[in-house]
Amino acid sequence: MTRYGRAIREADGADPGRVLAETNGRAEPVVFRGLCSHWPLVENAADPEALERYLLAHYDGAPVTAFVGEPRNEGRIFYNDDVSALNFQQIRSRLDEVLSRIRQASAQSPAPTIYMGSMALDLCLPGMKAANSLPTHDLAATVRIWIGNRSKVAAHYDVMDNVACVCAGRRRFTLFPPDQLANLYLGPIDLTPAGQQISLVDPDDPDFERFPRYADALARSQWAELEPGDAVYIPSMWWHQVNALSEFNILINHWWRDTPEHMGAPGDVLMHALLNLRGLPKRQRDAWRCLFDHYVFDPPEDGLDHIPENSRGILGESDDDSVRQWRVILRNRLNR
Amino acid sequence: MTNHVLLNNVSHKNLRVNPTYRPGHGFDTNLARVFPHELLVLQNEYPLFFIKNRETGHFEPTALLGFSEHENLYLQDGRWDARYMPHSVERQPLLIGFQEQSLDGMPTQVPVVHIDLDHPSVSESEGMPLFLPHGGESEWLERMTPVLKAIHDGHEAIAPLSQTLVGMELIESVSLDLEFRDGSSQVLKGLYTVNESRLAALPAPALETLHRKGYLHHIYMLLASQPNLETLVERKNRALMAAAS
Repeated sequence: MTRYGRAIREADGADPGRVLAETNGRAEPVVFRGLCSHWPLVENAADPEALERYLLAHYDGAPVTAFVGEPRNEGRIFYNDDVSALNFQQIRSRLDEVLSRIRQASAQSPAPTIYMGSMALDLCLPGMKAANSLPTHDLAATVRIWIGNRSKVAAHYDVMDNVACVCAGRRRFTLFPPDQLANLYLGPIDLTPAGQQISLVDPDDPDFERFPRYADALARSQWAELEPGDAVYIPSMWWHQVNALSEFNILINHWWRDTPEHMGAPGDVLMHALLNLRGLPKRQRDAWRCLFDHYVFDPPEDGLDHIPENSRGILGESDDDSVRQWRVILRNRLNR
Repeated sequence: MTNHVLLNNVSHKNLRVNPTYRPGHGFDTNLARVFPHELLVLQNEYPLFFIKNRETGHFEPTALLGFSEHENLYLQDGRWDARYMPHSVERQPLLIGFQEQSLDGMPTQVPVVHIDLDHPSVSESEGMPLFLPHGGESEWLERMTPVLKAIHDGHEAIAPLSQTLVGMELIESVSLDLEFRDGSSQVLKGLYTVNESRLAALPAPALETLHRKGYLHHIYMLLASQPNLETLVERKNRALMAAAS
Protein backbone atom coordinates (compact mmCIF):
# COMPACT_ATOMS: atom_id res chain seq x y z
CA MET A 1 0.00 0.00 0.00
CA THR A 2 1.25 3.47 -0.83
CA ARG A 3 2.21 5.39 2.28
CA TYR A 4 0.78 8.82 2.67
CA GLY A 5 1.88 11.44 5.14
CA ARG A 6 5.31 11.13 6.63
CA ALA A 7 7.34 9.08 9.07
CA ILE A 8 7.25 10.18 12.70
CA ARG A 9 10.36 12.16 13.63
CA GLU A 10 12.96 9.98 15.33
CA ALA A 11 15.00 11.12 18.32
CA ASP A 12 18.53 9.86 18.82
CA GLY A 13 20.07 8.75 22.06
CA ALA A 14 17.20 9.34 24.44
CA ASP A 15 17.95 8.40 28.04
CA PRO A 16 15.37 5.82 29.17
CA GLY A 17 15.80 7.06 32.72
CA ARG A 18 14.64 10.57 31.81
CA VAL A 19 12.59 10.14 28.66
CA LEU A 20 9.17 10.59 30.26
CA ALA A 21 10.12 13.80 32.05
CA GLU A 22 11.75 15.16 28.90
CA THR A 23 8.85 14.19 26.68
CA ASN A 24 6.17 15.58 28.98
CA GLY A 25 4.50 18.58 27.38
CA ARG A 26 5.80 18.06 23.84
CA ALA A 27 3.27 18.74 21.11
CA GLU A 28 4.52 16.39 18.37
CA PRO A 29 4.98 12.61 18.27
CA VAL A 30 8.49 11.16 18.51
CA VAL A 31 9.93 7.70 17.93
CA PHE A 32 12.73 6.43 20.15
CA ARG A 33 14.55 3.51 18.52
CA GLY A 34 15.99 0.94 20.89
CA LEU A 35 14.87 2.82 23.99
CA CYS A 36 13.93 -0.37 25.87
CA SER A 37 16.27 -2.92 24.29
CA HIS A 38 17.70 -3.67 27.72
CA TRP A 39 14.38 -4.81 29.23
CA PRO A 40 14.26 -8.57 30.01
CA LEU A 41 11.00 -8.86 28.02
CA VAL A 42 12.64 -7.34 24.96
CA GLU A 43 15.74 -9.52 25.30
CA ASN A 44 13.42 -12.55 25.07
CA ALA A 45 11.36 -11.06 22.25
CA ALA A 46 12.40 -13.60 19.62
CA ASP A 47 11.55 -16.60 21.77
CA PRO A 48 7.81 -16.95 22.49
CA GLU A 49 8.36 -19.81 24.94
CA ALA A 50 10.86 -17.82 26.96
CA LEU A 51 8.48 -14.85 26.96
CA GLU A 52 5.66 -17.01 28.21
CA ARG A 53 7.83 -18.47 30.98
CA TYR A 54 8.97 -15.00 31.99
CA LEU A 55 5.41 -13.63 32.13
CA LEU A 56 4.01 -16.58 34.05
CA ALA A 57 6.86 -16.46 36.55
CA HIS A 58 5.59 -13.00 37.52
CA TYR A 59 1.86 -13.74 37.34
CA ASP A 60 -0.02 -14.10 40.60
CA GLY A 61 -3.31 -15.36 39.15
CA ALA A 62 -5.29 -12.11 39.01
CA PRO A 63 -8.29 -12.31 36.66
CA VAL A 64 -7.92 -10.41 33.39
CA THR A 65 -10.27 -9.12 30.71
CA ALA A 66 -9.57 -10.24 27.15
CA PHE A 67 -11.20 -9.67 23.76
CA VAL A 68 -11.75 -12.69 21.51
CA GLY A 69 -12.64 -12.18 17.85
CA GLU A 70 -13.57 -14.56 15.06
CA PRO A 71 -11.03 -15.35 12.32
CA ARG A 72 -13.10 -13.59 9.67
CA ASN A 73 -12.49 -10.25 11.49
CA GLU A 74 -8.80 -10.57 10.56
CA GLY A 75 -7.75 -9.00 13.82
CA ARG A 76 -9.92 -5.92 13.46
CA ILE A 77 -11.26 -4.81 16.86
CA PHE A 78 -14.39 -3.17 15.55
CA TYR A 79 -18.17 -3.32 15.11
CA ASN A 80 -20.56 -5.68 13.37
CA ASP A 81 -21.85 -4.74 9.90
CA ASP A 82 -24.47 -2.22 11.01
CA VAL A 83 -22.45 -0.80 13.95
CA SER A 84 -25.10 -2.03 16.41
CA ALA A 85 -22.71 -4.22 18.41
CA LEU A 86 -19.00 -4.93 18.80
CA ASN A 87 -17.43 -7.65 16.66
CA PHE A 88 -15.62 -9.36 19.53
CA GLN A 89 -16.48 -10.97 22.82
CA GLN A 90 -15.17 -9.69 26.09
CA ILE A 91 -14.22 -12.60 28.34
CA ARG A 92 -13.09 -13.00 31.91
CA SER A 93 -9.87 -14.92 31.72
CA ARG A 94 -6.44 -15.51 33.17
CA LEU A 95 -3.06 -14.61 31.75
CA ASP A 96 -2.04 -18.26 31.34
CA GLU A 97 -5.26 -18.91 29.41
CA VAL A 98 -4.68 -15.86 27.20
CA LEU A 99 -1.15 -17.05 26.41
CA SER A 100 -2.27 -20.57 25.61
CA ARG A 101 -5.04 -19.27 23.34
CA ILE A 102 -2.45 -17.16 21.49
CA ARG A 103 -0.23 -20.22 21.14
CA GLN A 104 -3.11 -22.31 19.79
CA ALA A 105 -4.16 -19.53 17.41
CA SER A 106 -0.68 -19.41 15.89
CA ALA A 107 -1.29 -22.90 14.50
CA GLN A 108 -4.57 -21.83 12.85
CA SER A 109 -5.16 -20.09 9.55
CA PRO A 110 -7.11 -17.89 9.51
CA ALA A 111 -6.59 -17.37 13.23
CA PRO A 112 -9.00 -16.00 15.82
CA THR A 113 -8.03 -12.74 17.51
CA ILE A 114 -6.94 -12.75 21.16
CA TYR A 115 -6.30 -9.36 22.66
CA MET A 116 -5.66 -8.48 26.27
CA GLY A 117 -5.48 -4.71 26.32
CA SER A 118 -4.55 -2.07 28.84
CA MET A 119 -3.98 -4.33 31.82
CA ALA A 120 -2.52 -2.43 34.80
CA LEU A 121 0.95 -3.89 35.36
CA ASP A 122 0.67 -3.18 39.09
CA LEU A 123 -2.37 -5.43 39.34
CA CYS A 124 -1.41 -8.21 36.94
CA LEU A 125 2.36 -8.54 36.97
CA PRO A 126 3.62 -6.26 39.74
CA GLY A 127 7.06 -7.93 40.03
CA MET A 128 7.81 -7.24 36.37
CA LYS A 129 7.42 -3.50 36.49
CA ALA A 130 10.79 -2.41 37.86
CA ALA A 131 12.84 -4.03 35.08
CA ASN A 132 10.32 -3.57 32.25
CA SER A 133 9.04 0.00 32.42
CA LEU A 134 10.36 3.53 32.28
CA PRO A 135 10.81 5.63 35.42
CA THR A 136 7.74 7.86 35.75
CA HIS A 137 9.35 10.41 38.11
CA ASP A 138 6.66 12.35 39.95
CA LEU A 139 4.20 12.22 37.05
CA ALA A 140 0.82 10.70 37.90
CA ALA A 141 1.36 7.74 35.59
CA THR A 142 -0.17 4.35 35.00
CA VAL A 143 1.75 1.53 33.30
CA ARG A 144 -0.22 -0.96 31.19
CA ILE A 145 0.58 -4.17 29.36
CA TRP A 146 -1.04 -5.27 26.09
CA ILE A 147 -0.69 -8.87 24.90
CA GLY A 148 -2.20 -10.42 21.80
CA ASN A 149 -1.78 -11.85 18.35
CA ARG A 150 -2.43 -9.89 15.12
CA SER A 151 -4.81 -7.03 15.71
CA LYS A 152 -5.81 -3.68 14.31
CA VAL A 153 -7.34 -0.97 16.41
CA ALA A 154 -8.84 1.94 14.47
CA ALA A 155 -7.80 5.52 15.12
CA HIS A 156 -8.95 6.83 18.51
CA TYR A 157 -7.66 9.35 21.03
CA ASP A 158 -6.59 9.05 24.64
CA VAL A 159 -6.87 11.89 27.12
CA MET A 160 -3.45 11.09 28.54
CA ASP A 161 0.03 11.50 27.12
CA ASN A 162 1.54 8.17 26.19
CA VAL A 163 4.92 6.56 25.71
CA ALA A 164 4.32 3.08 24.28
CA CYS A 165 7.15 0.54 24.16
CA VAL A 166 7.05 -2.48 21.86
CA CYS A 167 8.40 -5.50 23.78
CA ALA A 168 7.62 -8.32 21.36
CA GLY A 169 6.33 -8.47 17.79
CA ARG A 170 6.16 -5.60 15.31
CA ARG A 171 3.64 -2.81 15.62
CA ARG A 172 2.64 -0.08 13.21
CA PHE A 173 1.41 3.22 14.60
CA THR A 174 -0.45 5.69 12.39
CA LEU A 175 -1.04 9.03 14.04
CA PHE A 176 -3.29 11.92 13.02
CA PRO A 177 -3.25 15.42 14.55
CA PRO A 178 -6.25 16.25 16.78
CA ASP A 179 -7.82 18.51 14.12
CA GLN A 180 -8.27 15.57 11.70
CA LEU A 181 -11.41 14.26 13.42
CA ALA A 182 -13.80 15.21 10.65
CA ASN A 183 -11.66 13.34 8.13
CA LEU A 184 -11.62 10.15 10.18
CA TYR A 185 -15.38 9.44 10.09
CA LEU A 186 -15.74 8.68 13.78
CA GLY A 187 -18.24 6.19 15.14
CA PRO A 188 -20.62 6.39 18.08
CA ILE A 189 -19.50 7.75 21.46
CA ASP A 190 -21.62 5.49 23.64
CA LEU A 191 -20.76 2.14 22.06
CA THR A 192 -17.00 1.84 21.64
CA PRO A 193 -14.46 -0.98 21.73
CA ALA A 194 -12.44 0.57 24.54
CA GLY A 195 -13.93 3.84 25.77
CA GLN A 196 -13.31 6.35 22.93
CA GLN A 197 -14.96 6.75 19.58
CA ILE A 198 -13.02 5.19 16.71
CA SER A 199 -12.66 5.82 12.99
CA LEU A 200 -15.05 3.71 10.94
CA VAL A 201 -12.65 3.61 7.97
CA ASP A 202 -10.90 0.28 7.40
CA PRO A 203 -7.30 1.51 7.29
CA ASP A 204 -6.09 -1.54 5.37
CA ASP A 205 -8.67 -1.12 2.63
CA PRO A 206 -10.09 2.40 2.81
CA ASP A 207 -13.30 2.92 0.88
CA PHE A 208 -12.62 6.39 -0.52
CA GLU A 209 -16.06 6.58 -2.10
CA ARG A 210 -17.74 6.33 1.28
CA PHE A 211 -14.97 8.16 3.15
CA PRO A 212 -13.48 10.65 0.67
CA ARG A 213 -12.03 13.00 3.32
CA TYR A 214 -9.98 10.11 4.76
CA ALA A 215 -7.46 10.89 2.02
CA ASP A 216 -6.92 14.30 3.64
CA ALA A 217 -6.38 12.64 7.03
CA LEU A 218 -3.80 10.29 5.46
CA ALA A 219 -1.98 13.22 3.93
CA ARG A 220 -1.56 14.67 7.42
CA SER A 221 -0.69 11.35 9.07
CA GLN A 222 2.58 10.39 10.68
CA TRP A 223 3.53 6.75 11.02
CA ALA A 224 6.19 4.39 12.25
CA GLU A 225 6.77 0.68 12.34
CA LEU A 226 8.32 -0.37 15.61
CA GLU A 227 10.46 -3.39 16.44
CA PRO A 228 10.94 -4.81 19.93
CA GLY A 229 12.78 -2.24 22.03
CA ASP A 230 11.42 0.76 20.07
CA ALA A 231 9.05 3.30 21.62
CA VAL A 232 6.75 6.06 20.45
CA TYR A 233 5.47 9.17 22.17
CA ILE A 234 1.81 9.78 21.34
CA PRO A 235 0.74 13.20 22.60
CA SER A 236 -2.59 13.45 24.38
CA MET A 237 -5.57 13.73 21.96
CA TRP A 238 -3.65 12.63 18.86
CA TRP A 239 -5.68 10.08 16.94
CA HIS A 240 -3.77 6.83 16.72
CA GLN A 241 -4.36 3.62 14.84
CA VAL A 242 -2.39 0.63 16.04
CA ASN A 243 -1.69 -2.55 14.09
CA ALA A 244 -0.02 -5.46 15.87
CA LEU A 245 1.65 -7.33 13.04
CA SER A 246 3.11 -10.51 14.54
CA GLU A 247 1.76 -13.80 15.90
CA PHE A 248 2.69 -12.75 19.41
CA ASN A 249 2.85 -9.09 20.43
CA ILE A 250 3.55 -7.42 23.75
CA LEU A 251 3.44 -3.70 24.39
CA ILE A 252 3.98 -1.82 27.62
CA ASN A 253 2.80 1.76 27.71
CA HIS A 254 3.00 4.64 30.13
CA TRP A 255 0.06 7.01 30.39
CA TRP A 256 0.20 10.21 32.32
CA ARG A 257 -1.70 13.43 32.70
CA ASP A 258 0.20 16.48 33.81
CA THR A 259 -2.81 18.34 35.15
CA PRO A 260 -4.00 18.91 38.72
CA GLU A 261 -5.70 15.93 40.32
CA HIS A 262 -8.90 17.91 40.95
CA MET A 263 -9.59 18.34 37.24
CA GLY A 264 -12.20 15.85 36.01
CA ALA A 265 -12.57 14.17 32.63
CA PRO A 266 -12.82 16.68 29.74
CA GLY A 267 -15.03 14.21 27.87
CA ASP A 268 -17.75 14.87 30.46
CA VAL A 269 -17.92 18.47 29.25
CA LEU A 270 -18.46 17.30 25.68
CA MET A 271 -21.25 14.98 26.76
CA HIS A 272 -22.88 17.79 28.74
CA ALA A 273 -22.59 20.12 25.76
CA LEU A 274 -24.15 17.57 23.43
CA LEU A 275 -27.10 17.35 25.79
CA ASN A 276 -27.48 21.04 26.64
CA LEU A 277 -25.92 23.18 23.91
CA ARG A 278 -26.26 21.38 20.60
CA GLY A 279 -30.07 21.56 20.62
CA LEU A 280 -30.17 25.35 21.01
CA PRO A 281 -31.10 27.61 18.07
CA LYS A 282 -28.02 28.57 16.06
CA ARG A 283 -27.95 32.21 17.23
CA GLN A 284 -27.91 30.99 20.82
CA ARG A 285 -25.19 28.44 20.08
CA ASP A 286 -23.18 31.24 18.47
CA ALA A 287 -23.53 33.28 21.64
CA TRP A 288 -22.38 30.32 23.72
CA ARG A 289 -19.42 29.89 21.40
CA CYS A 290 -18.41 33.46 22.30
CA LEU A 291 -18.72 32.64 26.00
CA PHE A 292 -16.70 29.44 25.68
CA ASP A 293 -14.02 31.16 23.63
CA HIS A 294 -13.83 33.99 26.12
CA TYR A 295 -13.74 31.94 29.30
CA VAL A 296 -12.36 28.56 28.26
CA PHE A 297 -10.68 28.21 24.89
CA ASP A 298 -9.02 31.53 24.23
CA PRO A 299 -9.35 33.78 27.28
CA PRO A 300 -7.84 37.25 26.75
CA GLU A 301 -4.89 37.84 29.05
CA ASP A 302 -6.52 40.86 30.66
CA GLY A 303 -10.00 39.33 30.62
CA LEU A 304 -10.34 39.31 34.40
CA ASP A 305 -8.38 42.43 35.31
CA HIS A 306 -11.54 44.42 35.94
CA ILE A 307 -12.76 42.01 38.65
CA PRO A 308 -11.06 42.25 42.04
CA GLU A 309 -9.05 39.05 42.59
CA ASN A 310 -11.03 37.94 45.64
CA SER A 311 -14.29 38.24 43.74
CA ARG A 312 -13.43 36.13 40.71
CA GLY A 313 -15.00 32.91 42.04
CA ILE A 314 -14.96 30.08 39.51
CA LEU A 315 -13.47 32.47 36.92
CA GLY A 316 -10.31 32.82 38.98
CA GLU A 317 -7.59 30.30 39.65
CA SER A 318 -9.09 27.00 40.69
CA ASP A 319 -7.69 24.77 43.37
CA ASP A 320 -8.86 21.62 45.07
CA ASP A 321 -11.05 23.48 47.57
CA SER A 322 -12.77 25.81 45.11
CA VAL A 323 -13.47 22.96 42.72
CA ARG A 324 -15.09 20.92 45.49
CA GLN A 325 -17.92 23.43 45.92
CA TRP A 326 -18.60 23.65 42.22
CA ARG A 327 -18.58 19.92 41.73
CA VAL A 328 -21.34 19.55 44.35
CA ILE A 329 -23.39 22.36 42.81
CA LEU A 330 -23.03 20.80 39.37
CA ARG A 331 -23.91 17.34 40.67
CA ASN A 332 -27.08 18.65 42.31
CA ARG A 333 -28.08 20.52 39.17
CA LEU A 334 -27.59 17.41 37.06
CA ASN A 335 -29.90 15.43 39.33
CA ARG A 336 -33.26 16.58 37.96
CA MET B 1 -42.34 -14.57 44.01
CA THR B 2 -39.57 -12.17 43.20
CA ASN B 3 -38.54 -10.53 39.96
CA HIS B 4 -35.14 -8.88 40.38
CA VAL B 5 -33.94 -6.57 37.62
CA LEU B 6 -31.30 -3.90 37.26
CA LEU B 7 -32.88 -0.56 38.18
CA ASN B 8 -32.74 2.00 35.39
CA ASN B 9 -34.26 5.41 34.91
CA VAL B 10 -35.80 4.66 31.51
CA SER B 11 -37.78 1.42 31.98
CA HIS B 12 -38.58 2.35 35.58
CA LYS B 13 -39.14 6.09 35.15
CA ASN B 14 -42.70 5.98 36.50
CA LEU B 15 -42.20 3.53 39.37
CA ARG B 16 -43.15 4.45 42.91
CA VAL B 17 -42.54 2.75 46.23
CA ASN B 18 -45.19 2.66 48.92
CA PRO B 19 -44.28 0.25 51.69
CA THR B 20 -47.34 -0.96 53.61
CA TYR B 21 -46.47 -2.52 56.91
CA ARG B 22 -49.38 -4.94 57.08
CA PRO B 23 -49.43 -8.70 56.72
CA GLY B 24 -49.51 -9.68 53.05
CA HIS B 25 -47.47 -6.73 51.77
CA GLY B 26 -44.04 -8.27 51.45
CA PHE B 27 -42.81 -8.05 55.02
CA ASP B 28 -44.15 -11.34 56.37
CA THR B 29 -41.04 -12.81 57.88
CA ASN B 30 -40.10 -13.59 61.46
CA LEU B 31 -36.36 -13.10 60.87
CA ALA B 32 -34.61 -10.00 59.54
CA ARG B 33 -31.01 -10.23 58.53
CA VAL B 34 -28.99 -7.57 60.35
CA PHE B 35 -25.41 -6.43 60.10
CA PRO B 36 -22.71 -5.81 62.68
CA HIS B 37 -22.64 -2.04 62.11
CA GLU B 38 -26.31 -1.63 63.13
CA LEU B 39 -26.35 -3.81 66.25
CA LEU B 40 -25.96 -0.75 68.48
CA VAL B 41 -29.21 0.83 67.35
CA LEU B 42 -31.04 -2.49 67.03
CA GLN B 43 -30.28 -3.84 70.52
CA ASN B 44 -32.86 -1.55 72.07
CA GLU B 45 -35.67 -2.77 69.80
CA TYR B 46 -35.25 -6.40 68.74
CA PRO B 47 -34.10 -9.68 70.27
CA LEU B 48 -30.87 -10.40 68.41
CA PHE B 49 -29.45 -13.84 67.68
CA PHE B 50 -27.32 -15.63 65.16
CA ILE B 51 -28.69 -18.06 62.63
CA LYS B 52 -26.54 -20.47 60.69
CA ASN B 53 -26.39 -19.97 56.95
CA ARG B 54 -26.59 -23.50 55.56
CA GLU B 55 -24.73 -22.56 52.37
CA THR B 56 -21.78 -20.71 53.83
CA GLY B 57 -21.74 -22.26 57.31
CA HIS B 58 -21.38 -18.77 58.80
CA PHE B 59 -23.36 -17.52 61.77
CA GLU B 60 -25.22 -14.39 60.71
CA PRO B 61 -26.70 -11.83 63.08
CA THR B 62 -30.49 -11.79 62.91
CA ALA B 63 -33.34 -9.87 64.50
CA LEU B 64 -36.27 -11.98 65.70
CA LEU B 65 -39.56 -10.40 64.58
CA GLY B 66 -42.03 -13.18 65.41
CA PHE B 67 -42.37 -16.78 66.48
CA SER B 68 -43.60 -18.59 63.39
CA GLU B 69 -42.27 -18.45 59.85
CA HIS B 70 -44.47 -15.63 58.51
CA GLU B 71 -45.23 -13.84 61.78
CA ASN B 72 -43.92 -10.28 61.95
CA LEU B 73 -45.08 -8.69 65.20
CA TYR B 74 -43.61 -5.31 64.24
CA LEU B 75 -46.29 -4.78 61.60
CA GLN B 76 -48.72 -2.59 63.45
CA ASP B 77 -51.70 -0.88 61.80
CA GLY B 78 -49.80 -0.23 58.59
CA ARG B 79 -46.63 1.05 60.19
CA TRP B 80 -43.42 -0.53 61.39
CA ASP B 81 -43.64 -0.33 65.14
CA ALA B 82 -40.06 0.46 66.12
CA ARG B 83 -37.87 3.52 66.15
CA TYR B 84 -35.24 1.87 64.01
CA MET B 85 -35.79 -0.45 61.09
CA PRO B 86 -33.12 -2.99 60.10
CA HIS B 87 -31.43 -1.96 56.85
CA SER B 88 -32.50 -5.26 55.27
CA VAL B 89 -36.13 -4.19 55.78
CA GLU B 90 -35.68 -0.51 54.97
CA ARG B 91 -34.03 -1.22 51.59
CA GLN B 92 -37.02 -3.13 50.20
CA PRO B 93 -37.90 -3.39 47.34
CA LEU B 94 -34.33 -2.52 46.34
CA LEU B 95 -31.40 -4.86 46.60
CA ILE B 96 -27.79 -5.05 45.55
CA GLY B 97 -26.83 -6.88 42.41
CA PHE B 98 -23.47 -7.23 40.76
CA GLN B 99 -22.29 -6.40 37.31
CA GLU B 100 -18.95 -7.37 35.86
CA GLN B 101 -17.02 -4.39 34.58
CA SER B 102 -13.45 -4.17 33.40
CA LEU B 103 -11.48 -1.72 35.53
CA ASP B 104 -7.84 -1.17 34.49
CA GLY B 105 -8.08 -4.39 32.47
CA MET B 106 -9.27 -6.44 35.45
CA PRO B 107 -12.76 -7.95 35.50
CA THR B 108 -14.33 -6.54 38.64
CA GLN B 109 -17.69 -7.21 40.27
CA VAL B 110 -19.25 -3.79 40.74
CA PRO B 111 -22.30 -3.47 43.03
CA VAL B 112 -25.36 -2.07 41.25
CA VAL B 113 -28.93 -1.37 42.39
CA HIS B 114 -31.59 -3.94 41.55
CA ILE B 115 -35.31 -3.77 42.23
CA ASP B 116 -37.82 -6.54 42.93
CA LEU B 117 -40.60 -5.58 40.51
CA ASP B 118 -42.95 -8.09 42.16
CA HIS B 119 -42.64 -6.57 45.62
CA PRO B 120 -46.09 -5.41 46.77
CA SER B 121 -44.76 -1.93 47.56
CA VAL B 122 -43.92 -1.26 43.87
CA SER B 123 -46.47 0.39 41.60
CA GLU B 124 -46.83 3.28 39.17
CA SER B 125 -49.56 4.92 41.18
CA GLU B 126 -48.79 5.12 44.87
CA GLY B 127 -45.98 6.27 47.10
CA MET B 128 -42.63 7.92 46.64
CA PRO B 129 -41.21 8.22 43.13
CA LEU B 130 -37.88 6.54 42.43
CA PHE B 131 -36.84 9.11 39.86
CA LEU B 132 -37.14 12.85 39.32
CA PRO B 133 -39.00 14.04 36.19
CA HIS B 134 -35.85 13.95 34.03
CA GLY B 135 -34.33 10.77 35.39
CA GLY B 136 -32.38 12.07 38.38
CA GLU B 137 -32.50 10.16 41.66
CA SER B 138 -35.44 11.00 43.92
CA GLU B 139 -34.84 11.93 47.53
CA TRP B 140 -36.00 8.44 48.55
CA LEU B 141 -33.63 6.71 46.15
CA GLU B 142 -30.77 8.94 47.29
CA ARG B 143 -31.59 8.01 50.88
CA MET B 144 -31.37 4.31 49.97
CA THR B 145 -27.89 4.57 48.44
CA PRO B 146 -26.03 4.64 51.78
CA VAL B 147 -28.39 1.95 53.14
CA LEU B 148 -27.50 -0.40 50.28
CA LYS B 149 -23.84 0.49 50.66
CA ALA B 150 -23.99 -0.32 54.37
CA ILE B 151 -25.60 -3.68 53.59
CA HIS B 152 -22.91 -4.44 51.02
CA ASP B 153 -20.16 -3.60 53.51
CA GLY B 154 -22.05 -5.41 56.27
CA HIS B 155 -22.14 -8.62 54.23
CA GLU B 156 -18.39 -8.62 53.99
CA ALA B 157 -18.07 -8.15 57.76
CA ILE B 158 -20.09 -11.26 58.62
CA ALA B 159 -17.68 -14.04 57.63
CA PRO B 160 -14.72 -12.76 59.67
CA LEU B 161 -16.97 -12.11 62.69
CA SER B 162 -18.44 -15.61 62.49
CA GLN B 163 -15.06 -17.27 62.00
CA THR B 164 -13.58 -15.49 64.99
CA LEU B 165 -16.45 -16.33 67.33
CA VAL B 166 -16.55 -19.94 66.18
CA GLY B 167 -12.78 -20.17 66.60
CA MET B 168 -13.13 -19.08 70.22
CA GLU B 169 -16.04 -21.49 70.74
CA LEU B 170 -18.28 -18.66 71.85
CA ILE B 171 -21.36 -19.56 69.83
CA GLU B 172 -23.99 -21.86 71.33
CA SER B 173 -27.41 -22.88 70.17
CA VAL B 174 -30.41 -21.76 72.18
CA SER B 175 -33.84 -23.27 72.37
CA LEU B 176 -36.60 -20.87 73.42
CA ASP B 177 -39.45 -22.30 75.50
CA LEU B 178 -42.27 -19.80 75.14
CA GLU B 179 -45.64 -19.62 76.80
CA PHE B 180 -48.32 -17.23 75.69
CA ARG B 181 -51.27 -15.72 77.52
CA ASP B 182 -53.81 -17.88 75.73
CA GLY B 183 -52.17 -20.93 77.27
CA SER B 184 -50.40 -22.02 74.07
CA SER B 185 -46.70 -22.74 74.13
CA GLN B 186 -43.96 -23.03 71.57
CA VAL B 187 -40.38 -24.22 71.37
CA LEU B 188 -38.24 -22.16 69.00
CA LYS B 189 -35.05 -23.79 67.72
CA GLY B 190 -32.33 -22.89 65.23
CA LEU B 191 -31.16 -19.74 66.99
CA TYR B 192 -27.68 -19.18 68.35
CA THR B 193 -26.20 -16.73 70.81
CA VAL B 194 -22.96 -16.08 72.68
CA ASN B 195 -22.14 -18.26 75.66
CA GLU B 196 -21.56 -15.78 78.47
CA SER B 197 -19.61 -18.06 80.77
CA ARG B 198 -17.15 -18.94 77.99
CA LEU B 199 -16.84 -15.26 77.21
CA ALA B 200 -16.08 -14.55 80.87
CA ALA B 201 -13.43 -17.29 80.89
CA LEU B 202 -11.57 -15.99 77.84
CA PRO B 203 -7.88 -15.25 78.47
CA ALA B 204 -6.77 -11.64 78.13
CA PRO B 205 -5.14 -11.93 74.66
CA ALA B 206 -8.32 -13.39 73.17
CA LEU B 207 -10.39 -10.61 74.74
CA GLU B 208 -8.01 -8.05 73.32
CA THR B 209 -8.39 -9.58 69.86
CA LEU B 210 -12.18 -9.34 70.16
CA HIS B 211 -11.95 -5.79 71.39
CA ARG B 212 -9.55 -4.62 68.67
CA LYS B 213 -11.76 -6.00 65.93
CA GLY B 214 -14.82 -4.35 67.45
CA TYR B 215 -16.38 -7.78 68.06
CA LEU B 216 -16.58 -7.37 71.84
CA HIS B 217 -18.90 -4.45 71.23
CA HIS B 218 -21.05 -6.56 68.88
CA ILE B 219 -21.21 -9.38 71.44
CA TYR B 220 -22.42 -7.06 74.20
CA MET B 221 -25.02 -5.51 71.92
CA LEU B 222 -26.33 -9.01 71.21
CA LEU B 223 -26.41 -9.90 74.91
CA ALA B 224 -28.00 -6.58 75.84
CA SER B 225 -30.82 -7.24 73.40
CA GLN B 226 -32.09 -10.31 75.27
CA PRO B 227 -34.74 -8.45 77.36
CA ASN B 228 -36.44 -7.59 74.04
CA LEU B 229 -37.52 -11.22 73.87
CA GLU B 230 -39.94 -10.52 76.74
CA THR B 231 -41.24 -7.48 74.88
CA LEU B 232 -41.75 -9.56 71.76
CA VAL B 233 -43.72 -12.14 73.77
CA GLU B 234 -45.83 -9.23 75.05
CA ARG B 235 -46.48 -8.14 71.45
CA LYS B 236 -47.62 -11.66 70.67
CA ASN B 237 -49.87 -11.72 73.72
CA ARG B 238 -51.44 -8.40 72.74
CA ALA B 239 -52.04 -9.75 69.24
CA LEU B 240 -53.62 -12.91 70.66
CA MET B 241 -55.88 -10.91 72.98
CA ALA B 242 -56.90 -8.58 70.17
CA ALA B 243 -57.72 -11.55 67.97
CA ALA B 244 -59.74 -13.17 70.75
CA SER B 245 -61.79 -10.10 71.57
